[in-house]
Amino acid sequence: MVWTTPMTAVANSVFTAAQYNIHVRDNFLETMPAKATEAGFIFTRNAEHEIVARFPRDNQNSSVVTISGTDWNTTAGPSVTAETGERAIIFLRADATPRTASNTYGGIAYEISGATTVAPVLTIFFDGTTVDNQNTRAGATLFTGLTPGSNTFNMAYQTSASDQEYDFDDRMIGVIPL
Amino acid sequence: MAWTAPMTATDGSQYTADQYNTQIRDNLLAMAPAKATGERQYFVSNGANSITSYSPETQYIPNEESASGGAGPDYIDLDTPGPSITMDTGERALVFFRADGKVDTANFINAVILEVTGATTFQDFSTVADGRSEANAWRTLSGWRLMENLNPGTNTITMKYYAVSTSQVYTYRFRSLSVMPF
Repeated sequence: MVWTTPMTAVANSVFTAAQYNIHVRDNFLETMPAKATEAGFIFTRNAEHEIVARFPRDNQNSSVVTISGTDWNTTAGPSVTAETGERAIIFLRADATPRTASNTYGGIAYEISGATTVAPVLTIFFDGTTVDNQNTRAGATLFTGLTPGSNTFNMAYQTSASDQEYDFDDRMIGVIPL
Repeated sequence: MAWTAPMTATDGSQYTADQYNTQIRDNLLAMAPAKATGERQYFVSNGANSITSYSPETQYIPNEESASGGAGPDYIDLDTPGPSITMDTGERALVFFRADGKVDTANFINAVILEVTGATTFQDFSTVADGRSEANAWRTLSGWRLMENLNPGTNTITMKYYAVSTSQVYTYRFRSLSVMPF
């Protein structure tokens, strides 16, 4: 179905079944109640005069992962997959504990795969922490330039050197597709 | 009003008042303009062919307040409890929070937790800040949580503060809590 600009009625004209089907039936099928299939969806513009239902979602991994090295580790997750338009709000959160030395760097980022490919770019960094002391960092970014479709957002990790270890814990990634 | 799948009109058939009331009146009442009853609302599906409206809420407590713990580790209230937000939610809510915290003793952590009461009861998600070991050094705690498995209805979300014992004094300021129900 597509949206049609509502017609303007004229006195004494016949309102045909075809007109009803276009201006009432088909236009109603473009509205939120018609697009709502279950609870928890928000609605955004998908194209001119077209809305779509999007589902905010997150994923978390409560296990501790030990990371070392400047290459982004993209295997520890978590990741979340969502149908998006061109934009999405991406949330990250982790606890981080330096295990080798104080005041060393640890970083978390997101990478994107699927309809869009984006390599990890440092989003949140941990620094200035005493060794074996835990710190929490969380943040969000509005990402623009996605290719609409199914996109997977995956957490990535790095440290300052291959001999500098960080424990990352209570790791969370969330997405509000727009 | 409940949504009814729009009928298909056929040439020569009579369009009755009942059909108008079901197809036009009741369906229009199920749409966003009819559901827009307050300011700053957005729209979320709350079931098949059904939407509802929500408005984000926030509370901010700027003043600096201190407290000590009890007999053991616990999440406590400050003299001004919260921030706390009571609102109708669906099964999910996106929660943002922040606070500055410090402890009067070196090597002790600050942490906050979100406590949910009302239609749903649980404590969820703590965040800790232990970036520095010196006493009375301010540190920022901030985070977010997409709470799921809430019982739809009136839920209260409250920030509470970690305290180990009566020996340390925990101080917080610039406490903020925001909630977007889904």
